[in-house]
Amino acid sequence: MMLLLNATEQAQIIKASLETLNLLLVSALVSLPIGTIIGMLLALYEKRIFNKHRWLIQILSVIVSIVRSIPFVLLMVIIIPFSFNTFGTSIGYMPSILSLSLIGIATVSRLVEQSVIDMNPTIYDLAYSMGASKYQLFKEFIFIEVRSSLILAYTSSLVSLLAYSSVVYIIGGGGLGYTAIQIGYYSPVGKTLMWVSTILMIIIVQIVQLLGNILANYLNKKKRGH
Amino acid sequence: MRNIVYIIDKMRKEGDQSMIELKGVRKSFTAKGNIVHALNDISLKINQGEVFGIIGKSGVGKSTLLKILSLAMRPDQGHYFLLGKDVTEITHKEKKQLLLETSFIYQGFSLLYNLNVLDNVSLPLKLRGVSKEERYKKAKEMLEFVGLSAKIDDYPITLSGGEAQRIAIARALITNPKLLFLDEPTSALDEQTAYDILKLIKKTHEAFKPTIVLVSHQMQTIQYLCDKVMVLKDNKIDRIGPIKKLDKLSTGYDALWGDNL
Repeated sequence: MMLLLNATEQAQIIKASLETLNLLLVSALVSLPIGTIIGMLLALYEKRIFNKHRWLIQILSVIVSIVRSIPFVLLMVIIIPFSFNTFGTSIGYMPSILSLSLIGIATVSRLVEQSVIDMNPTIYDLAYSMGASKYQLFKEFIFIEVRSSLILAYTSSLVSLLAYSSVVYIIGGGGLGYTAIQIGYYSPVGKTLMWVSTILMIIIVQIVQLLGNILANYLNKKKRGH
Repeated sequence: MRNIVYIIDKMRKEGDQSMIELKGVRKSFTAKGNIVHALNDISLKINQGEVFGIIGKSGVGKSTLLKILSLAMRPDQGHYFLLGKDVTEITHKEKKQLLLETSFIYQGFSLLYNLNVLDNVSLPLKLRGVSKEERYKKAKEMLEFVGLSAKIDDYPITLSGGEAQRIAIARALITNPKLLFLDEPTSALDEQTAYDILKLIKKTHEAFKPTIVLVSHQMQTIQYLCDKVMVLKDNKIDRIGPIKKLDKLSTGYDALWGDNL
């Protein structure tokens, strides 16, 4: 595939791929843990395992819904003033990571929340009857039971983040999206670059999905044949 | 004076034997704006080592009573003494301590499907911080007791209903509980498997001598296992007493003493 590109284009595509992977990994590192914690909290409040500060969780739930509802392109623009005040710039790498992390947190939260809510409700009674602490409830019961659906939720979130990362070039985030559209599509001689960028994105999605499926399948013992 | 001392002494001795005592327990819920009285004025006493059955039709408060007895719910009124402690007045920490003395066997087995049989059975000991070697050793003993040593590495999805319930029994016994709650332990099983499980519960009682509180809508289950039985009707106690005595009074109680309630 790379042989279709000249030396300059090859350098551009390698740089863009690394930028995309960087955006994806860093925003995932931020959004997966935070989104998981928020998703767990939302689910455990929904299941009435936690009751204190319910209003705070309701506000959090509304914020998650709002962030998920705003089209990502608009979200990037809306947070520009915040980015400027925080990072001293409204464009570039950090504002891109911020916007990707925000949408990532919201996406992961809802998917994790749904995974936990779908869990067999008797598990809570079981944990309680065994005298499990809240931490043990999470570690020994919930996490064990939902771990494979969590992996699928993370996989789905990573695929979404990759899609979102293709438009952060609007605020100077770079990546394969920038190469495909700005250098590829808008250039009279850059169509090959556009197609190579697109194929690379497809390959990354397929690899992420395949690895996620393999891991989730390995961790899921609810299917016969294990 | 001597009589009073004798009575107090007798009461104390009786009190020592008491595992569970309920005094005037009431519980209500609000459903669609209406107050539903799930339990009305429930008083009972269960002594150590007894097998106590609770039977009644659907909606008479059996599950609510079991939830209160197993500390999953607080009564609105009345007192509940467990192992001599008034659980309506204990701290969260004390409640946790009491929970460590009890085990619960559910109708739907409640095994963790992503853990193998050995890890499922040893889980209560893991929660108590017992070392892996020690808890696995104990779990293997329990699996031998329930006759499922061969299934040690299997996952619950591969087990039959009867096997899953045996695993649940092994898990409940691993902490050597003083008090065992059973919620409809055989209702999800076919007749032969249900009978096998009842035999295992009887064997469990003989071997470990726990106090057992059993909720069932199946009269055969109660008759086979219990020393005492309480019949709930209209969310209050209809009859309570030794199973043999109640059996003799069954004339005219056909509706209750039929195959299933």
